[in-house]
Amino acid sequence: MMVKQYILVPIAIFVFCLILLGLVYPLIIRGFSLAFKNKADGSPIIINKTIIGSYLISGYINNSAFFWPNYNISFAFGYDPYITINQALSQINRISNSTGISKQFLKELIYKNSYQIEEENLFLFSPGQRIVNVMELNEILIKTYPNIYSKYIGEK
Amino acid sequence: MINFILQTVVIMALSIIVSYIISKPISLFIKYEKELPNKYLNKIESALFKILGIDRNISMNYKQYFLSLIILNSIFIIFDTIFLMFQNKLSFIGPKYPGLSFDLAFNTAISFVTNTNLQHYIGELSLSLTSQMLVIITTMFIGPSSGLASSLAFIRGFLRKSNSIGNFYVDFMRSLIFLILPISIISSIILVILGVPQTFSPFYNISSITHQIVYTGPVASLESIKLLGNNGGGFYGSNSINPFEDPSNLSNFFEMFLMLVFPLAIPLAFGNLLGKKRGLTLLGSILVSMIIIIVLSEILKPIGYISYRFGNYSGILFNSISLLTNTGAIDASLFSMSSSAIIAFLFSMFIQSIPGSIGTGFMYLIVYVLLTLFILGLMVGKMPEFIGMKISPKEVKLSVLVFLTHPLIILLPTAIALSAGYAIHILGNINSYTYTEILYEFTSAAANNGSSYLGSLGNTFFFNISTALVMFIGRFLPIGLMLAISQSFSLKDRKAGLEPLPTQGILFLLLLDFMIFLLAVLTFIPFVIVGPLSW
Repeated sequence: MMVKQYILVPIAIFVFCLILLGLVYPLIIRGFSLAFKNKADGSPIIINKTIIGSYLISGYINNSAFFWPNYNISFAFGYDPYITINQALSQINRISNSTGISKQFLKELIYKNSYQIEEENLFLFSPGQRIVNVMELNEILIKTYPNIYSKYIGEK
Repeated sequence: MINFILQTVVIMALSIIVSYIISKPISLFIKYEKELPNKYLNKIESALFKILGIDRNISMNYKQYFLSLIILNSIFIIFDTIFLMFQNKLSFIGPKYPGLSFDLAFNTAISFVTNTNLQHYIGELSLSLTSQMLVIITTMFIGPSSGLASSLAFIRGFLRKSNSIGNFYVDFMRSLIFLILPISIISSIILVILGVPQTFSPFYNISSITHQIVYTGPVASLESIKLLGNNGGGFYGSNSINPFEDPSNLSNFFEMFLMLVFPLAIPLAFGNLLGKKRGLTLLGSILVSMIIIIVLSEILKPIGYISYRFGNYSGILFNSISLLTNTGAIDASLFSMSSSAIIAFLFSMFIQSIPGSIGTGFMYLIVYVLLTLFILGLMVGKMPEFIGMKISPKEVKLSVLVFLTHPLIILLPTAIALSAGYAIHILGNINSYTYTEILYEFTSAAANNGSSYLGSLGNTFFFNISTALVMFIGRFLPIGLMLAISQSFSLKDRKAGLEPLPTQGILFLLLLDFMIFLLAVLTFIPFVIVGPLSW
């Protein structure tokens, strides 16, 4: 009786939990996640079958043709891609000089992206300041101006 | 400003609504210790218990209950330690990382089993996905289920006269299978929709523009239970600061909601069984103290960067709620926090019950109620009673022991670390800031919180073993003592009629909050004066 109560039952619960929680549970969530495959795979930005970045993690960018993240907020691997709208606007001159893209276009792009992020936060949960995602902006630049940007993809 | 208040009110209201819904099954599990009144749940339960060998008809006294809890938890501590030490051989999904040292593996095992989740390692660079799943995710369910189970038994002692407090295995399995796991599944899916990854490939390479490695994994299934179970240990070293754990401000508020759901449900379940008004008074006292802590944490501007995707207000609010619920997750670095925020965080961990973590937070709150009644009884010269039962010297002594355990296991190791050179070794020198980092480390370990200044700096033999011991004592000694308090009440006669000092209503609510803060301030203020109060 004592052996069953204090040894066999806890061991049975241990094995059951290990299988259910360590294997079945993550598999079930992966199954559901296939309906949102891009997000579940880590939000890769794929252009012409090449992964050029992630929507949620920015790397170190020093090419002046792209929007840069704020390097003060970093993790073990990469940077937060979200910056304030003013930090993005201050990069317009540099990008425009380097690529020849019109400042007006870049400005509109920034405001559009900022509005989209407010929408994704259901407006109520906006962070109290207007922000943009530099990786989303860079993706749009690459897609809109393939002639300018194709030379940067695949090289450092 | 109005926007921030609105955000907070909406998320708190949503938490309380869901807590109210969850409080119904919790009170059923407390009341029906043997057979559940619901036919379907009963069927599932019977089949499962038959396979696992659990006998619902065995009822345990507090010693047997506590022993069962310790044994089940110890099995996980042993398994986790061994698995992490040999993860290079045992893992079937990579990356192929070397096994952890014994002291780090032991620290991590204790940390997760005790619902603390102090992490002296960087997840994405140290653990294989197999370890993340079989050790981390699995154990993240064990701590909260054990905590919730013990609170079920604890409340039972106040509910009915008996010489037993329930069956641990029954309470544990019900908490896990009918509450924690299903809610965790739903919230994982919501997190994936909000952008959190869930995959079995450990990373992908980017060889264009940025040239980086992006580490991924089953993050969503870990993230939901990390918050729902008040665990707090991140998949990544940078916790919810990393966008993969917390992609947007919407997900940030969703995560705050998850942390609050269970801790706020338990006082309501208590109220369902022992008087609606009494439950609401306890919930009210929690909410009032929470507001005090939140205001204190927000009052000064942060001194460093907080992710722009959250903004200062919600970045700090997340940390406050995480500390109040003893979760320990962070969405902005502790180094960015103002001195008032650090004081607020320290007091959240000193108090442990506003609302505290799942299960144990509520038990601590009742200990504060007993201490308050005892002190008030002395002041007005009346024999204190709680729910028609006389409070005897035995329960007061046990309550005082619970209360005194906490400062003892914080201050003693802090003093050793500072005086024996262990702190200087990793921090370089001792000043008010580094002293606070050490005080915070042991406070976090003792309160089973898990947030930390040190992070992987704490990966030394001394800090691994000392914090492991503090976490173990800080978790299991109070649970044992509180189960003894519950058993002691379960043996008592209860009489109907008015309490000499009413334990419900606005007056008691304010008195309880006053006593909680008074006790915490009197015990800990000197150590806060040397630390953040002098910055």
